[in-house]
Formats: sequence, C-alpha cells, structure tokens
Amino acid sequence: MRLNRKQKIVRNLLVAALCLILAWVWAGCPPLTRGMMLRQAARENLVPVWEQVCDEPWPDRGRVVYLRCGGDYWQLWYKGMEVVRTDLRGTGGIMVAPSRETAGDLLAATNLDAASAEITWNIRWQEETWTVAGEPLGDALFRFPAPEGLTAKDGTRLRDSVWPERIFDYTLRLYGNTGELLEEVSG
Amino acid sequence: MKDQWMDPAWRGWCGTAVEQVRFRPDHAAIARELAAHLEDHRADLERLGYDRSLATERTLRAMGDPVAVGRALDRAHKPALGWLWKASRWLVMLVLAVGLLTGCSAVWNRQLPDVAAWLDPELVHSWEAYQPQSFQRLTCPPPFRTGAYTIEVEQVVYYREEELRRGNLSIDLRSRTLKFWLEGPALGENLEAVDSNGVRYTWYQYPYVGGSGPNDGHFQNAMWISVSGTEGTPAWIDISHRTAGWTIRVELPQGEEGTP
Repeated sequence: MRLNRKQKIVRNLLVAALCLILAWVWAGCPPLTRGMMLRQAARENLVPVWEQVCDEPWPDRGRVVYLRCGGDYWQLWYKGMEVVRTDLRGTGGIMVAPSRETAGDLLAATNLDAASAEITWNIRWQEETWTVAGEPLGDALFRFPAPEGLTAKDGTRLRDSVWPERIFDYTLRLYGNTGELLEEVSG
Repeated sequence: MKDQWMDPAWRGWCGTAVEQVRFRPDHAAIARELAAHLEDHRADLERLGYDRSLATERTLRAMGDPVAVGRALDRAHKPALGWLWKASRWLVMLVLAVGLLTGCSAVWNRQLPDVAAWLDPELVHSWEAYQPQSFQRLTCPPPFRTGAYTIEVEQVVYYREEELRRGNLSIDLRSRTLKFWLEGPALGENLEAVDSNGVRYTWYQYPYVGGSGPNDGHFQNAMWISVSGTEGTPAWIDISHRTAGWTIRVELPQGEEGTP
C-alpha cells in the first residue's frame, strides 16, 4: 500500500511514540515531571491525592516535600525525579518534623485553623528544655528555629550538624485567632 | 537542480515548473517524474511516426504552461507538510538509533528488565524446604481492592517457636494493577495489627508487624506481611493499613491444632 505524505507523517509519529513508550517502560516507568512523581508516589502509598504542605532543600541529598491527606502527613525525600524514601510523619491532623533545610529547626503543620504556635522541647541527652514560638509560614505551617544553646551529641552547635531522627521530645501548643488554646499534643 | 541526467530538451520546461514548488527537497523527485512523463509522451509520438524534433516540440506543447503546472504541483507539495514529514523521518531515525544503542548496551551489560517477574512474580516465601509438621497453612482472607491495586492473599503460614513460647505469622500477598507504571503498594511502616486478646503489634516495638515495601515490579508485585510474637492462643489477628484503611483478618489455629 502506497501511503501519501500525511499518512506517512502519522505512521512515523506513531512509530516514534511507540519506541519512546517502550524505552520508558524499559527504564522502569520513571516519572517525567515532579507532579507525575508525586501522583505516582501517592498511588503507591495508597493515598488518593496528596496536598503539598511545603517543599524545602535537603542540602547534599536533594529535596524533601511534606504532604498531607486528611489528617495524615508524609515526608517524601526526592532527588531529581526519583523518590528516595517516603515516611509517614504524622497522623491525627498534626505533624512535627525536623526541618531538613536548617538543621535544628522544627516544622509543625496542622489541619486546624491555628494562628500561632509554640513548642516546648528538649533533646534527649540534654537537661534543658526550651520553649520556642513558631514563625508562621502560612497554611497552618510553622517553623521553630533551633535555640542557640542547642547542641549535638558531640557538643557542636546543632545548627551545624546533621539533624538526627527521633531524638527529641516535644509539647506543641496551637492557638486560635483570639489566643485561645486549640490543641496541645506531645510526642 | 542537478539535471545533467535529463534530456536537454526538457531542462528549460522542467526547470520553470519545478521552480514554482516552494518545498525544495522535492525538486529532484518532481523533475524526474516530469521528465519521465515527457519521455513517455515523446516515445508514443515517435511510435506514431513523428520525427524526434517534432515529437519533442509536440510533447512540450501538450504539457502546457510550465508555470501553471508548477503552481499546481506546489499546491500538492505544501512546504509545511513537507517539513513535517522530514522532521518525522528524522525523529524516527533518531529514536531508532538511540533505542538500538541503548538496547545493545543493555544486552551487553545484562541489564534487561525482568519482564517475566513483572507479569508473574514468585512468592517471597517458599515453605517447600521445611518439615510439614513445623508449620501450618491457614485459610487465606479474600482478595480486596485498595487504591489502584487488587491485593490477593496467596499464602498464610503460622508457626510457633516453642522455646520462646510465641507464634509467628507469615503472609504472602500479590498486588495487581493495570497501571503498569506503578510499583507495588507501600506497606512497611503503615501496618498495625491487633489480636483477639487485645495485644497490639507495631513495626517499631515488639510484638511486631511488618511488611515489604514496594519492589520494582509492574502489573504484579509479590509482597509479604510478617507478624511475630503472638502469645497465648488468640483466635484471630486483624492487620490494618493505617492510612489506606483496609483490614484483613486471619483466623489462627486453636487448641491442639495451634501447636503443629
């Protein structure tokens, strides 16, 4: 069968598309965009849809994005378009997690309509307890800067160290617009 | 136009006709086609007894105005369509070349995807090598849907560690999805369990419940769930996925049957 020029264009485009799809499948179906990566990760984590809470750099490792679905929070660490790890970081409507951008800072997110927040926390190997007011980052997200005296286990400033996991105890208090206490949680 | 091959008698007429076509890459093919047409016409006239010069003159006259013919040809050889066709050819050649190089490199480095495992992965645990009396196969809960996946429980095995006086549960599952670009569903830290005695199992504290994370299969994935440290003789264990919300119940053996 002799094809005219239009038919040849369609044939060529179909052949090219088929080859590209095969190559993509061969490569393990990697996501092509950040949105596609997040949708794919959501489905693999059995979450219908994720709402992004914040996205921050994780120096020398890539980036980390905090995600919410209902009252559950996840932390997804990614590099380029590759998901390195996904962790469930909070349930019950509240997440308290170490900030990856600045070692020593904490992040707190909630689905309550909180206007301000403060956290009382300590590192497990230190006697002292600090109370820090949260800097609102919008959408009920707060950053708690690390107090100056906070040090890592080897005595260096925690801000200069790699933030270790699960080494702190905290009590988070969330306040409404008129200063009333909305919620107090410990972890 | 390189027309050295063409009869000099046609050059002027063909040249004028072809110049009207804006898509230059087609010029040579059009000139060849026109020249062939002129040659055929002249040959027909010569068979009828015309001498060569008269046949040539009549042929050119019969073909008409070369500018009008050229404009008609230009309408049939639109530049946009022509360049799109060219681009599509280059695209196919590029894709095939890259595909061939990548394919050869993958074959050379033995990095071919395990398509068989994508379509029909083996179960994680095989109990064939164990003594039949050292474990007990239990009834599998029915398949269920969660998100993009259908999950089938393929094998439930209960075994006891008598010296530690505790029981363990090993569950093999298979997830299926038509969304082939997805890997298997994440279980890991999302599982929790509770037995009929009210004992809670978590991934971080004994007694444990745990499961495999996603592996890199497509279409189907083999996964496992393990519950370790059941004490006493609970009648059942409910294993739940904290965020997806599903629960599967495994009925445990009771009494004498409970100690295989």
